[in-house]
Amino acid sequence: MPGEVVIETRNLSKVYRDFWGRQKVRALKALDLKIYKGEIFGLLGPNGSGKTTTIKLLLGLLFPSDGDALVFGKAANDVTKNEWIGYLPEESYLYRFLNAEETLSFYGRLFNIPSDVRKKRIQELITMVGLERAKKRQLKEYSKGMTRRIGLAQALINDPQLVILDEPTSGLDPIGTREMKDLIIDLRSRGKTVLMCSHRLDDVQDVCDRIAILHQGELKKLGAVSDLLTVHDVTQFRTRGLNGDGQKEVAEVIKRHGGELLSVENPTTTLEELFLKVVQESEAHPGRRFIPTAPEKTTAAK
Amino acid sequence: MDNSPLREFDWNVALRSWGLVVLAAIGVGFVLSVLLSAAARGSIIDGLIAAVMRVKEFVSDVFALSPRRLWAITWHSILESIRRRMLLAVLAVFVVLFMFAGWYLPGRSTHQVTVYVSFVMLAATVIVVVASTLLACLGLPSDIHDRTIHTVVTKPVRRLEIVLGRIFGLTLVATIVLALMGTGSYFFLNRSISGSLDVFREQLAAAKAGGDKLLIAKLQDDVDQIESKLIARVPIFADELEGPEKSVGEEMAYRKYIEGNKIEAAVWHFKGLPVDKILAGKPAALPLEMTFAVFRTTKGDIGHGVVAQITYRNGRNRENFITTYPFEVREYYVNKQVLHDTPERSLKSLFDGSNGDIDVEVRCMSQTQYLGMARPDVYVLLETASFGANFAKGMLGVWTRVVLIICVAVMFSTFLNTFVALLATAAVFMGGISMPYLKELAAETAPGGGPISALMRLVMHENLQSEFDSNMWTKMAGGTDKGMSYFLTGLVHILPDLGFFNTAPLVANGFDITGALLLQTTLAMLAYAVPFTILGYFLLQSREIAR
Repeated sequence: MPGEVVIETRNLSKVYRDFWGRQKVRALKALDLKIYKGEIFGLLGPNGSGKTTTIKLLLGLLFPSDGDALVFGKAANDVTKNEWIGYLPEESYLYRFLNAEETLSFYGRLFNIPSDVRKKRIQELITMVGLERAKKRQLKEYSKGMTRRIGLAQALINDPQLVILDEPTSGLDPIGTREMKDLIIDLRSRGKTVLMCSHRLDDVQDVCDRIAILHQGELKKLGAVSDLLTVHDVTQFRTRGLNGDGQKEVAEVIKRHGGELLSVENPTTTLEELFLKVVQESEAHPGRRFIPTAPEKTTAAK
Repeated sequence: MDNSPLREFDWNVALRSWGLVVLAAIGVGFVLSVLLSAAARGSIIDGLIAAVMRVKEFVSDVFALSPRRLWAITWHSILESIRRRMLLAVLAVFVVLFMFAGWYLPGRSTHQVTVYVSFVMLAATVIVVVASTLLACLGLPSDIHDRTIHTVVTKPVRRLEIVLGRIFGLTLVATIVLALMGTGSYFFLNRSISGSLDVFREQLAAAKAGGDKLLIAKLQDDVDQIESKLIARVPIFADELEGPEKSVGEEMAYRKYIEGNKIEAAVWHFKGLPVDKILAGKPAALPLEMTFAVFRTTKGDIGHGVVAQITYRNGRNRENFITTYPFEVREYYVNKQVLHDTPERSLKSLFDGSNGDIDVEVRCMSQTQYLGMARPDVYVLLETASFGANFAKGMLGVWTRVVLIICVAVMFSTFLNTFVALLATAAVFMGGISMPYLKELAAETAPGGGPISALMRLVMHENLQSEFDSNMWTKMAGGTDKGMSYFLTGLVHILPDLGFFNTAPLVANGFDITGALLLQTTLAMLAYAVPFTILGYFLLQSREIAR
């Protein structure tokens, strides 16, 4: 993967102090990290592990107590680096008295985007996040999911090279979650770099190329998702249409070669896949209802 | 702030003071920046390095200011004010205030213009200052509290643009509100005063029909007094006043007095009056207006005013003069005298070879009475301007005060929460309007002594004049007051004197607000606004937004 370094932290540390300068919390300890162009990087860790602190340090929202945070080779407190960054905070901190168009126009102006380009981009983004019908409503009337969508749109208003997403799927329904993940993958395909932190490990696993696991402010694990998750001493075969005799023969072959058959089972799909399939079918055939059959008598009922 | 139409303004002193304020602001901003950065980074050296870097960043931020970003934040502040219903609330309060103005404002009188103009200007100032302060103190602290600022500062926005955008936005809102209030007030004034004037004129016509000379004179006087306030007089003041030296007590300190029926006289030396303009009139006329205070030691002649003798003398050739006597001085009135050619001497001969230098000599002729006067009390009036335009200029004076308070409030809101920023801004406002008293306290000339001595007087039920016994407590109080006077001296140099920006008394008393005065107030406002803005920038720059 190594290529152009987009984010680099060197010995990055953060100590929260009280008004009198006394140490309260050591939120981040000597973090050394490099994130390369075009990768999706996930920051994982339990609450208070330093994920959000790291992001805030990279964005210049906090000052480091020690070490350096560089984004595009510039110091984190250099606002010029923000030209190429899109940031979606955890709670989509937006102005509730603005509507979607005004919100995007406001943030577009902050990027100095010319009026004609801005208008075109606003329309594209509103369509992309599916808020066309709500674009004139003030954000205070939006649901959490809608607020996340407009938050995402503002993060992309400048067509950023680096997108920083703090809990990007928080507050989204399964469809929104899938769209968000698809979008993140699409960003990578367009050469963008994505840094995200999330509690939802399945989301991170689905989209991230590399992850870092933080705990109590310290880096505990860093590497490619595929490398970290691979169980090297277990081999998995997936077949279709294999009958019982065939399974027995395979088991014997495994035994003959010194292996141990751990399990033979039918795989299950994910709940997300099932949900999306149901919704898609419902949209394709509106009015078709599921009629439950009579419950089978169980042994206990007998 | 007195009601004098004459403002003494020394540009050298003003520039020196401005330099002092700027240096103080830079010093305070830098020190605070070092301390805040040191608290965030854990060492004073790191804080100092960060502060120096911020000075460098400030310079680059000034050059990187983007009109589009600035306008975005400005427009955002305007929308915020409108959608938070603050604009509507302000206008509603103003309308309600005027709907019931008849309940608490005095009715028809010769002072109606003064009272009404003072009222509308004060109401506009208070309402807009309070609303602007609320909006300014809510804005940034709410953004920081709600974290909406996180999505702003993570864009390529300079902190200077945030501070300036807030100030510009609130200033634009205040300007719109003041324009609406000014227009509404002007119509209110016109309607109320025109009504009163009509009633006086009808009474005058009735009195003329009845032939009551005393009543006619009184009503004519009333009409003249109101009309004299409904214009903007452009006075020509004397360069020097010589003569009055007597004091009748500290509360009358603005004026000095001459005693009646004595050799004492007050002489106003006018230099370079426009002789051609005076003599070009048909007939030639030298209009003089006078406002005198009267201090009586006896009842005097009941029913009659104090009598004065006025002598006009050629300032170069002192032998040419015209004397008018008797001239009845009326208190609380604008006394008028228009000098025309007299059988003994023409105006032309009075001005002959004078180059426009004329001395006006006033003597009090009523025994046991004193006439009080100051330099602006006598002036030549050759020109008047429109009251409406003057009223608009008066509103501009209100605007300068509002802008100044917005800058102060935005500066405080960069590092304080809403409530504390409100308190701090209110303190600056109160200090600003109490500046004459603060200056007295700083100079240790306030009656009753300093704050601690005054407190002791309150507790001990002592009056302001009585001397304290010399004991340990009074010495301690005196010492503390001395220490506080140093602090107050610093404070009076930093706090803006809001009385300076108040041009309402000029409008209320029918004096023109000159272009020079407008320039003075606007520059003085900028002289404070710029350092406060820069201070606000440094405070916001030094702040960890996400904490």
